[in-house]
Amino acid sequence: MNGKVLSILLIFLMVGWAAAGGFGLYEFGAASSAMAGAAVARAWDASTVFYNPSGIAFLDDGAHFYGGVTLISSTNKYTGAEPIFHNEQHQSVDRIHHPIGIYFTYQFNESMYAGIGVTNPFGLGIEWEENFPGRYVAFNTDLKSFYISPVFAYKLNDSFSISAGADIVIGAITLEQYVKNFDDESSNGLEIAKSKIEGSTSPAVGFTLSAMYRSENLGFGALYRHSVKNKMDDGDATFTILDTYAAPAAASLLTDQKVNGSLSFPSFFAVGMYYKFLENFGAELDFMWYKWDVFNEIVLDFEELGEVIIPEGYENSIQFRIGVHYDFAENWQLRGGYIYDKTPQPIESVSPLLPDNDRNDFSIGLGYTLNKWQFDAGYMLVDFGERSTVENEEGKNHNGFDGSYATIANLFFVSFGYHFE
Amino acid sequence: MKKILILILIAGMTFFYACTPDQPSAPTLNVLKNDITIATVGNSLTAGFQSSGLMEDFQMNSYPYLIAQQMKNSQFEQPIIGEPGIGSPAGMSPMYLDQDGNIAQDPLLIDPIYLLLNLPLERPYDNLGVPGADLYDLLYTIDDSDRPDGKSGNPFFKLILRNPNLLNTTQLQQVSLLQPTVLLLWAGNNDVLGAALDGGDLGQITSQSDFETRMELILTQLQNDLPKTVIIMANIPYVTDIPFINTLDGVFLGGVPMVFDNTLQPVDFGGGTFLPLVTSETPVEHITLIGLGAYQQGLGIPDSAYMVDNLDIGQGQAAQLEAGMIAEGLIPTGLPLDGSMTLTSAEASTIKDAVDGFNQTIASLASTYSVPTVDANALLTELNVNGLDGATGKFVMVDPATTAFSLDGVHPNNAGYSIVANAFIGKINAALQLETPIPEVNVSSKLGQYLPPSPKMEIGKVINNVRVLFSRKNVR
Repeated sequence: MNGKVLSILLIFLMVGWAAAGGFGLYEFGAASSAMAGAAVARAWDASTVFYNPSGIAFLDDGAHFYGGVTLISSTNKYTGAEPIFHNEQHQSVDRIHHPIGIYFTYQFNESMYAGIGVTNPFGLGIEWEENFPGRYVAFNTDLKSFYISPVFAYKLNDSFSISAGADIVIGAITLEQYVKNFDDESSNGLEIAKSKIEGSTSPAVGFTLSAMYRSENLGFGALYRHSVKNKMDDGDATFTILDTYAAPAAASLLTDQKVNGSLSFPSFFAVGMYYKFLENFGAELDFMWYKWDVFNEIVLDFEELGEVIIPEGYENSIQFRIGVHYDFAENWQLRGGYIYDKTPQPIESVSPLLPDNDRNDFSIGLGYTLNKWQFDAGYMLVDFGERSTVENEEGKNHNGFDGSYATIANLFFVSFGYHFE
Repeated sequence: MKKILILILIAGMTFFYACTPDQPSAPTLNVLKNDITIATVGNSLTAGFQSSGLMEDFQMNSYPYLIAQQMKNSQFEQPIIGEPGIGSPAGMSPMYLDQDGNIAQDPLLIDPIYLLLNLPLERPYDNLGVPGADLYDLLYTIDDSDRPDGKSGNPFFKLILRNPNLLNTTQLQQVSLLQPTVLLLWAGNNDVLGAALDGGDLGQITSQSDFETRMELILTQLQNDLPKTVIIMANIPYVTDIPFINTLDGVFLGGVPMVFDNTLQPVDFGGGTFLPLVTSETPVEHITLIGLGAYQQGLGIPDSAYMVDNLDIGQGQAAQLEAGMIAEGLIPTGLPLDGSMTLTSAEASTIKDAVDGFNQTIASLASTYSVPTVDANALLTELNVNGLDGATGKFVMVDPATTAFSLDGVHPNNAGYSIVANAFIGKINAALQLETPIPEVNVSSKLGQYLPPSPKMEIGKVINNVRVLFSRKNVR
């Protein structure tokens, strides 16, 4: 029994860590987000600290503040596979996440610029209904991360700049789930406990390198953000033993204990081109490549239960982002965009913890400038479509929990900026 | 402009709360691919009966078990009978080959129940075949004492159905508890077989109308109780096409059985003189292996008095012929082979007609209820005519290397059951549309079950072997 309880318990933890990656966010400035985040080739405001720090060299002279919040509400729906999961229908509990993006940039002289940003590139989670049959795979997941990113940019000439920056990253995670004991491979298992893992990571450091070219009507940008490996030491694993006939055995096995682990965020590379077709109309196309294969395998080390290695098998993936702006009146800008986001998640890992899929995102937004002030707002629909863990009538989920998922996320973002001359 | 901004905000907030995904549609898992369960009901052929008995070695080659093995289904449970096995008739163990290559059978000295190795299994067995069961038994019989027609006393019902512990349930009721993915139903052989084994005792044949009623009741009951189960049937082979009945077909000349030697060839007593056997019924078409046993004791062999009285042969020549027969090792008695040891042409054709009638019923019900059906009848015919997968339908003593029959001359051996398993596997693959079909059993690896370490068997020993064993009605 010992090893089986362990394996089931720890599978979900591993998926949990991976889910954090799949929930990577990119919406940290309302103006850029409304243009689908296609902002690596053009700096619009101080959020360029996040999108391409070289861009701070092309902001208007002086210092800039830009900050805002993105409200995210995602709804996940699950339908159980026939016949084993009986067409059961469930959905996640409504929750609103609110990652922030706050930036400040400063100009030292004609060629030297600095900036700092605070963002939460990983800050989501899913909580399912109490009666959700997959609660032993995932029940309540919450993940937060804080990136503090000081950057430095150097303007080589009027149209070209380069930058380097650091990412100082801390994270916090809460994972709740039910634990089943599987007597043998064919049994449905008996719920014996509810577990909760809580922990935070010690600060980890990554770096960013970027470059930007800009002329009157043309822009190019490239960015590399290195992966960050966060270590969680002395996380707390607590277990509530459920009242079953297996309780005595479960109680002796599942004692509260410390847990160590690590959480890697992938490196990625982005290139983009901006072109201003008309005086009041321009568009940008970005291509991004994520090195998701850092999730090939994950290790968690429990003080008592021991170390567990779980294969995840994430694959590297790509995104295309197209953003347009139309300056329809003085001081007013209308924005829109589209993202194709290919999932890195193999079908085996599609689970209640993160039912990811290839996504199609559509964004729209509006900006208004008033003297030194800038106000931006926008909306993005993230459509995950429907993804099934059943392929050719064969269940693929590695926990054996099969069904179809549909997810839609609604993002509403607002930011404002101020230009210190 | 402020209005536009406000409108955008309102529109955004509306989306924010309104835009949720549709409930995804339920995918369908083909549980068959991952987890096919199989169960079987029927008679001795399904139980894996060989050589007049049931024991673990035989059961490991029952066609249901072979199929489960090919499906890699490790959960398949049979009522495993330990050594030395339970034989027929009651009180005996199964036949075996002794060290001289002779077929032997010993008394069983313990209560059969002690040989049931997995008696405590807390669910019905997946192989519910009960040796001796006919259609009536499938529907109604729960133990060894509840048949109104006097056919009670079959100990296998108690062993396999384990009532009252399984709540006094029949084969059909027990298989309903299992809810298998696939149910194999091969039944009805015992509704006609007894008539053939007992030399044309036609009273043992179930009437066509009873057969129809019962078979339809079986199918309606199964389809009601097992709505999701794929049912696959098999029809009934000609029960006269088995070594028990046809091994001596070679001793006939001009349609009349002749005095034969221990190689089963008619004896020429000089100048093309062959002597007809003495039988109590005519015209004889088959002599059973029981008849062979009786023949070795002198029954059916004309003596000089019989020849003088019946064959238009003079006293002197009759004495000469009798001396010749004695020289051959025969025992002339002038006593006839009993009618229970021979089948007349009329009996054989009545039995064949009954099988045809039953198979028509099976075919028509199979069509009505959409049940795929293995043509076991055609399989046995092909086995006898051309052979199948290197196997033949010959009696083991005649052809130990390739026979598909076991020592009793009625039931298949390992190779024979493999052929049956493959026929069912073909139907299962077709019915379930499996992406990875269940592979067939390698029949040739099962051939030669009676070869070394029992190499001494040879045709000359046929009579010696048969005399003892087939003097009993012990092959059901």
